[in-house]
Amino acid sequence: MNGMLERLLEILRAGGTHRVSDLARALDTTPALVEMMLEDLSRAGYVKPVATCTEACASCPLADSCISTQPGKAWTLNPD
Amino acid sequence: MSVRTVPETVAPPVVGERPILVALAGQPNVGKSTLFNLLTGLHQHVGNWPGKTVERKEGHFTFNGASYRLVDLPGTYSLTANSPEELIAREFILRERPDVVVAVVDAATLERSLYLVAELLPLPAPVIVALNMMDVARQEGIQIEPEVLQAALGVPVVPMSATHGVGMPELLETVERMARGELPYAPRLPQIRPDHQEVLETLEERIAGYVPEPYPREWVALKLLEGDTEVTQMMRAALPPERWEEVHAVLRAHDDAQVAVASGRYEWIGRMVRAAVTRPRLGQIGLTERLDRWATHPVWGLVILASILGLVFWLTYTVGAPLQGWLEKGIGALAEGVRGLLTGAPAWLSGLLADGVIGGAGAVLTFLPILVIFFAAMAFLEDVGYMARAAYVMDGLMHLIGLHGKSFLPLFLGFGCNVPAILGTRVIESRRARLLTILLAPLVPCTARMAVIVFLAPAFFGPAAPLVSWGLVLLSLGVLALTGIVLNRVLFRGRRSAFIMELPLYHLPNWRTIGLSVWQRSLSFIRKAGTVILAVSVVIWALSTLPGGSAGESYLVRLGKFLEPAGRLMGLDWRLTVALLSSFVAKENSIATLGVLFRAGEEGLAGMLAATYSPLVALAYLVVQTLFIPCAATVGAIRQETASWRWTVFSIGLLLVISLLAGMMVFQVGAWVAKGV
Repeated sequence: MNGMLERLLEILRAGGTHRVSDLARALDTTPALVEMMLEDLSRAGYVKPVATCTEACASCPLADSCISTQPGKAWTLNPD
Repeated sequence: MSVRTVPETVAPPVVGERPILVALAGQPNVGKSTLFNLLTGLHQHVGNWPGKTVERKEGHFTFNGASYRLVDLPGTYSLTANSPEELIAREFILRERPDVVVAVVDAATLERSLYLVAELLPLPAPVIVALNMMDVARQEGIQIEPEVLQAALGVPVVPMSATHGVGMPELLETVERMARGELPYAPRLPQIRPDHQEVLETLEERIAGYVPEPYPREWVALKLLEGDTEVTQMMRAALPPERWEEVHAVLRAHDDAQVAVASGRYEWIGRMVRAAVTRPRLGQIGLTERLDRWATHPVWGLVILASILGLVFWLTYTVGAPLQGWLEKGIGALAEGVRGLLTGAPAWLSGLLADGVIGGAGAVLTFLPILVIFFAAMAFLEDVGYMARAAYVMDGLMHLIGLHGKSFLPLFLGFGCNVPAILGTRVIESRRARLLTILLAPLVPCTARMAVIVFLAPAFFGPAAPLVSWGLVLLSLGVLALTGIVLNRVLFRGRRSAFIMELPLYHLPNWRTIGLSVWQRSLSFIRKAGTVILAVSVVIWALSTLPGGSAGESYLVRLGKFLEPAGRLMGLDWRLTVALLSSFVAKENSIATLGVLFRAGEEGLAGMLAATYSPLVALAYLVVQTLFIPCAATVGAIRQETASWRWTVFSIGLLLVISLLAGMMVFQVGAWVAKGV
């Protein structure tokens, strides 16, 4: 049977939008561990953290008034 | 316990007998430094690790008559060779072979801390787990059973709270007994999948006899399998070329082993946590989960989102409309006052100030109260954490219509302003997906478009304004989805991609943050009214007055009349057609233009518009205005990001066709229905 990280990759490869808490439930573990695994997969190049606003904020006319300076983290599967 | 002080010198106090070497390992911010300072007091020395800029802290203490040398290893999350800190920590343990390694872990975030422990256990030094921050964990409702964790790990676990000095005697006693070999030590190591276990054994066999001192063979084989660059380089140099080729072939055939090794560690952490930790789902986390069951549900989540949006509009109009009415009367009176004051002045000056400046930019300013309430409602939703849910629910919808999951984030930015939405598409790697998102972004109703809707909807539709506004937003998003599906078929084969989001916890609103956001947004709106909108108002006024003579002969009237036949298909007269065109400079200009063209006095622009146009014409106008080509700044952003005039023109053409078709459909179908009635 595959390990937890491999199972996580399988879920992600099937596509779709996932919340960290949903993934934790599916893997019978905690959201903190899922986050760690995502960071690990990100280091290994399997997933990529999504730069939510950084580039767009530079030229956003509403940047001054934006509250979402610290939006929740997000990742996406690396297409390669 | 007695952590006795010794004369202040860096040299170990016992001569002739080697002091017990203890290494403190742990990730940053787990209380490692607190523990180090508590144990060594003033007897510490701070320098750098040889050849590195990483700080090295070392000190000594005595306990029960024995001397200890304590080395504070750099804070690390793991022991892979990712950073100099990680390399220093593992090299120290491997080369110096401390008598005891104290792994300081944060009880409140045990999973995170245990990864390092999983890497420490296979090293050739006994590990004791100092389960620090027990008090913090308890406060957060996390219950940990140290004895269970100890049994699961197979190494001593000492619960403590270094900041309060709790657990220090027990820790020192455990260190002492471990150093003397009085404690059983049978760590349960993370396992890897059986097929990879075989590979590991093959590797061990191949490298046997060639592993340089002081590295343990099993550990080197594991690191090779993991793809550790340092160890790989070391073994490449140590092995004869033909043997290295063999090893390399094994590694190449199992390039997924890196995941397998890490996976084994996560399984191990999962087991430890499941065994020893209980997290009652109370407080903020429990509340967030309960609320999210509904707020992020694929169907109910969308219903809730639509309801919240409807509620925001209802609130905006109920509270804002009367305020806007008063302000409009005030602005009208001001225009009349200026006209009265300038009776002796040239007619053009009075016209410019009363009709151009006050009638145009002033009309736009009257809906500031409505915008303030709208901004406040949106800022509130953003601050309590709901907006992330809205994003999540919408992202699910994007997938349903075959769109790229990542397209949602930039599109979401579009609700504020379409320009950052277009720039935000840079997060999408695929050129096709990016292009599709750029083409769709202008269909997201931005703040300026919403401002036009919130001004015009109550003027035309009175109590039904919230419903109409809500419908217009839904229409925008519906058209976006439909356009997405159609373009996706033609341009972009929607490959299923995964998207993972971590949603923040819901929390009580911070009124200061909300206030600040409303203030900034209002200020930037006023600034815009005072610059772009004012300038366009003056230009529109000039065009509506020049070249003089009969009012019906002005340049603007001529342009309007020229375009009127096209406008008529949607029920729009020349004034609405010109207002629509002026929105290209900035969306709010359409109101400023109507203000100038109607020469709205004390009776107010809203009242004059309601008296002039039928609800059907108004609805057709609002539909066209909502879906119309974006403002000049957005078109500029499209040109910049697509780096193609062809696609920029395509985008303008696409939106022009969509908006005009939608307007025509509303007007023609409405007129047909009205005839039937």
